[in-house]
Amino acid sequence: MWKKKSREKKFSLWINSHHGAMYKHALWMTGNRDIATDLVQEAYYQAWNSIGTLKDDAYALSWLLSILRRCSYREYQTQMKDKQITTQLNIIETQKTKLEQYEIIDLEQAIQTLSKNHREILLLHYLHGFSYDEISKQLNIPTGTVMSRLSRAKDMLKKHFQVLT
Amino acid sequence: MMIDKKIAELLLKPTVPKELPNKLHLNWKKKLEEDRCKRKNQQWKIGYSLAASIFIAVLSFTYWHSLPPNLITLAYSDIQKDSYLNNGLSNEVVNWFETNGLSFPSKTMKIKMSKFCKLDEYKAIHIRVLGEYTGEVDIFLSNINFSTLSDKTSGRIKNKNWRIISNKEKADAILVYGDDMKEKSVEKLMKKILNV
Repeated sequence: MWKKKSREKKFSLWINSHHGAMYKHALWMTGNRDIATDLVQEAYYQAWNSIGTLKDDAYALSWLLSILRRCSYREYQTQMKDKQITTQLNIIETQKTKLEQYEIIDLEQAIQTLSKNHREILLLHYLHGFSYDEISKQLNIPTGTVMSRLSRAKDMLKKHFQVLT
Repeated sequence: MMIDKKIAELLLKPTVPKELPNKLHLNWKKKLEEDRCKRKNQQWKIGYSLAASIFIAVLSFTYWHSLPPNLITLAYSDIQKDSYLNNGLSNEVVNWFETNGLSFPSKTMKIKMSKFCKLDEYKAIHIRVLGEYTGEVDIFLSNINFSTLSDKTSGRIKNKNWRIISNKEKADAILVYGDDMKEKSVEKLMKKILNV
């Protein structure tokens, strides 16, 4: 009973502390606010069902992101099946200044040109601040691959920004 | 370095919908409630299946226990097989009675038939005695200790009663009789034959 209560308390804490990071990750991955919201909800739902699989609470965010990754992969497959791939840019936010909005649109356009793998590594590194080693462990790929993919993603973004300026 | 900072800044820019954490909490609470209901239903289901299993076990045990021992079933078959027999008391049976030190029923209880028979592998004497007033009783007498071959010493088979009575020094008897045969008559008869 005590264990169950503490688990519920922990999970509630993870909703409060990680929902922002999860949402932004999903948003940049899909480019669509509604899909991102759905994915985060789905990910938290799945996370509660498999809460027993998390061995160390210190890795809660990584664990949640791995679930989100699985959900977004499924979502991507459904979209492919339904042929409803989101192409319109949907991240624009009315509460931002015009300049900020343009910058976000630019970045989104640039990110859309990256492959899923490159996008994922870019987000893990720049959005969540994970190190190469941490990303390597999370994605189960060699650190060298993480470094090369990140460098390539950055080059592509740089190129995109240069074209724009 | 500039590009790194810029990317990081821009990635953090989009705002999170204010209602998202509430939505997540609500969904989760709903899921918790569903889980609780599911668990409760499961507990009920487990309880029901457990009760059903116990009920079936008790029923099987009762049924198994109510079955007459094999020896009694064989005796009943022998009774059915020889229901037409009306040969009175045969000489061989008289000899066997005398050899084993058994007495004959009183004159008020007529021996309708007598014969040697086999219950499973055990040799026995089968006699049918008419009751003093009504009914009849089939008696299987043997030197075999019937009471050691069966857990039970009395019961019902079809519409008849059966009993195993033992006199260690003389012989054992299986009695099969209908409801029209008085218990008192049966006891009197056995007292006379086996002296029990």
